[in-house]
Amino acid sequence: MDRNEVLQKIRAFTLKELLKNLDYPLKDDEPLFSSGLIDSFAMAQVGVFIETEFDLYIPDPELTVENMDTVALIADKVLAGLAER
Amino acid sequence: MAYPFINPVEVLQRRAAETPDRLSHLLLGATEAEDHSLTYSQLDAEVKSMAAFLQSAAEPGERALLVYPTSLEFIVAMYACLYAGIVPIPTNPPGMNRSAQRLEAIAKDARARLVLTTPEYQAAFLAEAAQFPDFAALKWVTRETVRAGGGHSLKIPEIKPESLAFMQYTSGSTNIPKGVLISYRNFSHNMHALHETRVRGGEYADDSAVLTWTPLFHDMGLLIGTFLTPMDGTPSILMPTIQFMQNPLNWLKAIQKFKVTASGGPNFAYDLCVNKIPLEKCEGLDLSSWKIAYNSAEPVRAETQARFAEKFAPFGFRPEALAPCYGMAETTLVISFYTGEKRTIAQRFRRADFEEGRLVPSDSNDPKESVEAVSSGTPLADYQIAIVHPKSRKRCAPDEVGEVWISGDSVGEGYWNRPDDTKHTFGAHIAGTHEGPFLRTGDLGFMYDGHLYITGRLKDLLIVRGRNYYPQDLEMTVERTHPALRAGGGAAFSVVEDNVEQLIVVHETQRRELEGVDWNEVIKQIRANIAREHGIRAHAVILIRRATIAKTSSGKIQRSEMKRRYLENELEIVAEWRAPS
Repeated sequence: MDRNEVLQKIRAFTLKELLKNLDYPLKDDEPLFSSGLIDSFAMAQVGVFIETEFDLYIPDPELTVENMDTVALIADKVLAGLAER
Repeated sequence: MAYPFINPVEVLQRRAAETPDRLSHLLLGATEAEDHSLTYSQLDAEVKSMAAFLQSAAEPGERALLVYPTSLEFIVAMYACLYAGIVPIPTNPPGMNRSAQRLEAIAKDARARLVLTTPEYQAAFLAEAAQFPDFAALKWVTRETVRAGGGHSLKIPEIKPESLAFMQYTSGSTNIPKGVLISYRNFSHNMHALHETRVRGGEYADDSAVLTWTPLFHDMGLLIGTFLTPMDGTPSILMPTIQFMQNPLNWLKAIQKFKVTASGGPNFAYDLCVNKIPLEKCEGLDLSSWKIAYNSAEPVRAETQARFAEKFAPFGFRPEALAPCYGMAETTLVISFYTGEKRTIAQRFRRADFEEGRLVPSDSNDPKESVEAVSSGTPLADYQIAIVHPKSRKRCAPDEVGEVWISGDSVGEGYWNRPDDTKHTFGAHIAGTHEGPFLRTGDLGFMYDGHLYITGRLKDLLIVRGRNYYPQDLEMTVERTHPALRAGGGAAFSVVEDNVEQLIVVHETQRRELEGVDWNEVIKQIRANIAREHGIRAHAVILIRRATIAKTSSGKIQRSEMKRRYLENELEIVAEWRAPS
């Protein structure tokens, strides 16, 4: 799976499930959690999404705002995880 | 509240003298021809005969285990103990796959002298006698024993408010049953409060009729089904529990047939009526006599009540009849109750604050943002309720969730022969004050607008990453995920792995729905739903075989036992997912 594909999937999930707004002009480097755009409550949903979509488990200590604050950062984390396999 | 001293022995004797031919208790048979009943004078006569025999068989104050199905014999035996000055301990008769182990444990704990039962049960136990020698060695009394026992004289003892009336064993683990001591004072206070509730609810009248289908050995069945109605001389109709479980419509039809004014059950009973009774079968149903429909579960669900009211309103059911209530063995029966409202009283609170134990009212209907709490009623009569921090024992602020502490004359006298447990549970004081003693209910909740709200059991509360989760909420999220997941068949608990508290959910599958179900998909959906609704990842999701979840004798999920089985790998697994380590 290449970076674009990963970004695309994460973007789609973020718009549909987290922002609940398919028309939001989301940028890949836009802070999601630290900006307050999305409640940190939703971090668990991100974790489960990554598990079911990419079959990749991100342990709790790594599922942080620091690592997951933007679509790009999430994609990096996913790609890193997939590469380790 | 000033309340009269209610002596059930005197009550029955007065009924037998003043209204001897009125119907006291009616047992519904499988067919109408098999119905059995007793008038007050018949009941009094049978009670006296058995009581005289009991006095010849045991000393005053000794304890007797009562092991009966829903039956008139149970009613006779309960009263007979009171007439004889013997302390009755009503217990749950073992089912086909349940042994006498718990009964033996209770008998040992109470140092019981007698077992009062039916000849059929006696025969069944004696077949197991080798396994339970101490239990078999007790003095067994059945109707045959009484009949064969010859005439004895009866001397009804003087009964005072502080005299012990009966013992109720709480449904806990088999190994450590605890007997709650209920005095005649406790009994009087609670029965009077129930009476006042009936009056307030407009249900107390010459044409009152109460129907009980829940088991008689505890709770509503014991206090209401056995003792309440002779107080006003109206009938108590008893329906064996299986008649309800096999077909919930039987309950509703009996309410119509006997123009029942008060009847109820746990929340799941109302759910069953909504989900399992086809509308076509309700043709001609008339529930207009029903004035108090009590809902005694943990928890009462607003949705259940709304759906029940909606479905049965066209058949004369009045939504104002719905009466959520809350109580426990330690408080004789009822702590709080309400009726007469058109809608279930409920309030939404901000979820994030709620999970940290703080109440912030919310207008949002989004389950991510808010939770709904449902009222269990207004505290009865002159109860004092305190909401207290379980660890510090300081009173909570009005906007905090804490442990519910109760004080009042319905609170039992303590646990039989357990001074430490009694001091801990019944003798609590607010930290740094002399306020008390209070009963610690072990339930979390709060007072809001004069109503008492129960949020869950303290010992079941899940604290994961600093936030509080009520297992029943997580279990409901899982249950709703797919029809192949059995209703009421889930357990959520936490385990410590690598020093971190983690959430585990276990849920039963339905046999019927097993065809072609992709369990991996179901589990994915469960994980996604939990994450979305509760903001937490389940560390493991285990789907188990139907009917393998642990429940207490009154049908509550035993989460700690499920946790033990998880840790010991004793679950009957159909499908599972566990976080990689």
